[in-house]
Amino acid sequence: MKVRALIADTFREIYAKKVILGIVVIEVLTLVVTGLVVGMLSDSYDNARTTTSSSFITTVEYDSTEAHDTTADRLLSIAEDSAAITATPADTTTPSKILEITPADSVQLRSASNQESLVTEMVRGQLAAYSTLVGVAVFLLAIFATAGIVPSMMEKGTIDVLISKPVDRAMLLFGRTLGGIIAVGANLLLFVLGIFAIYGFFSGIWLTSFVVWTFLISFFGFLVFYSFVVCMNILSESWVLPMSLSYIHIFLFSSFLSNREDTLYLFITSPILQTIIDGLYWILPQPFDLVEANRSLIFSGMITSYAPFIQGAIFILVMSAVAVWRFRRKDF
Amino acid sequence: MANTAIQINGLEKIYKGSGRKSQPIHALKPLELDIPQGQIFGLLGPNGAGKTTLVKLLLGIVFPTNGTATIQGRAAGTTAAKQIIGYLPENHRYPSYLTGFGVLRYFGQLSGLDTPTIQRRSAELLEIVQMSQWANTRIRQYSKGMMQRIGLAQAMLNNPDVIFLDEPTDGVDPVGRREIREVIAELKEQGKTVFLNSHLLSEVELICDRVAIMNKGELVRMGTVKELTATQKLWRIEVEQSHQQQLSLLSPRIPTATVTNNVMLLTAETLSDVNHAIDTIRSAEILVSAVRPERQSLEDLFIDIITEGGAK
Repeated sequence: MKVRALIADTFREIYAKKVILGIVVIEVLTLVVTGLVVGMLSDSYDNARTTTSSSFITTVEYDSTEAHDTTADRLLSIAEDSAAITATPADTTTPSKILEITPADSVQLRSASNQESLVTEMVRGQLAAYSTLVGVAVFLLAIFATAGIVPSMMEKGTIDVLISKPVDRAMLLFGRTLGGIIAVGANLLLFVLGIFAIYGFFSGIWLTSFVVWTFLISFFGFLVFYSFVVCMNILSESWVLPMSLSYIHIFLFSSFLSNREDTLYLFITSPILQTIIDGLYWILPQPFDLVEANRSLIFSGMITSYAPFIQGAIFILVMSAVAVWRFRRKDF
Repeated sequence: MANTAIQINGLEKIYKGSGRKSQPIHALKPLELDIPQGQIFGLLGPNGAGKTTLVKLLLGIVFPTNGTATIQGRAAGTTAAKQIIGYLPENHRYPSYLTGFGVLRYFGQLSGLDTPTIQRRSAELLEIVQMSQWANTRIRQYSKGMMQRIGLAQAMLNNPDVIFLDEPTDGVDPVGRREIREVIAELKEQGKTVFLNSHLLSEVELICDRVAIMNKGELVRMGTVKELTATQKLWRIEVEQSHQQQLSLLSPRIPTATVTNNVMLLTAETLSDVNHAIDTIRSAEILVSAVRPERQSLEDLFIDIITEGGAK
């Protein structure tokens, strides 16, 4: 009940200060513009679907033991729907099946398979780009919206009454920050779902991987930076300083540190300095790499490195521990 | 001690200097103090005397450098102790987007009260502090006096045994002050202990059972208002109006006496000095109409103590 009261009060404060309202307005405008742009692009999706191909598909070989061979499944499904195509395996004794297609039907199959895939790739590419925008917007707007939550609690005249109540200090901090986190999470999820719905409606491609990865990774990135902001809120009793440091890191240091070998090390040759820079890369959050991981997951469903996630999780733990430790011992 | 509400043993607070060269600040020098249950205890002192630091130490808002304190036997600053206290801080700030009732509901929830209790207590207390008609108005529209009333209701919400009030009548008009004094007196009737920080000496004089005066982080005087304001050295001897001229002629014969009209003020170390002065007056056949020890007002005493000589 106490944590619920703190969360509810944080919501009230965020909405009373109209910060979230401002962000919602920005998001709605973004969705409207996205809707207009994607609406115009819908013609190009249709064109891609109806474009004929000069190439002919005569056979498709696929592994019948592979349960999730989506391309083969899709082709087989299309073939079965077409009366002119016989979807009879050429050889029933081996797991490998051959789908034989007559030349007359190959055009139909080509346009229904490859061109569908082309549209998917178009949407996938656009949403991957969008995921970068969402990631950056979350870092920028969500930190702005939540950076003042803890300092406003620590103002004289406010904190005195709160601490005089039978609530553990760690719970006070937890309740307040959780309120901010839930508000940002809900907001982010709605925005991502909005983009997902717009693309799904106009392109017919419902790319759930975009919703899952963009939400989870952007939210995780927000948690990484918010843990830093809260910790600095408590240490410095300021909201401007941690917010400024976060922005500087996100927009400046992060990309240099992630691409240090192609940028910084071109003119920094000292092994000692390079070691220090390497150390900074591993100590500080890696938003640039998180955004890249998001794009990669949307594009290919694969991830090249788990390092930004592991580093981020450790960073959250360390920042949270320092914040709680300091808050519980602070004189107000 | 069963009937001790607040027990303080060697409580001390030293703030580290914020800059590299700044000196540590000894906000509270080691303090021993017992406050019995059911009393209204007034704490006086100039700004920076250590009053607020003492209250904050008792509430766990700041941590002691040394010493301990208990509230009704529970270690000060713990969740257990906070369950039986209420606090109205000076310059309190409640979320401006809440209504008066919203403030009570929020802090009631943080106090661990259930919803029916919060609703019942809120209605009672809003009535007591005469804020019922403003219960659903956002507090950003409240005056200072209304904020104090809501703050007082907030401090009493969990029906605490010990209530800390820091300048409860600050910004309140004279009628409102009287009402708040009545509320405090009612709390005492209910057996509550009230710890009152106030600059309004006349108010403290009116309602406090015991008063402590702090200066420069030290407790310099404590007692009942009567004990503190009685000065054993100063006596007032009044004579008949018709004899005032004779009295003024007599004054050089009595050391430490000053005469104004028909009143002689006498600084006497012992009762025999007073009687000697009366004998001298009577030997001149002057009719004495009254002899009584002179009392200082609490304000006089406070200023005496705060000025360097008084403090010593």
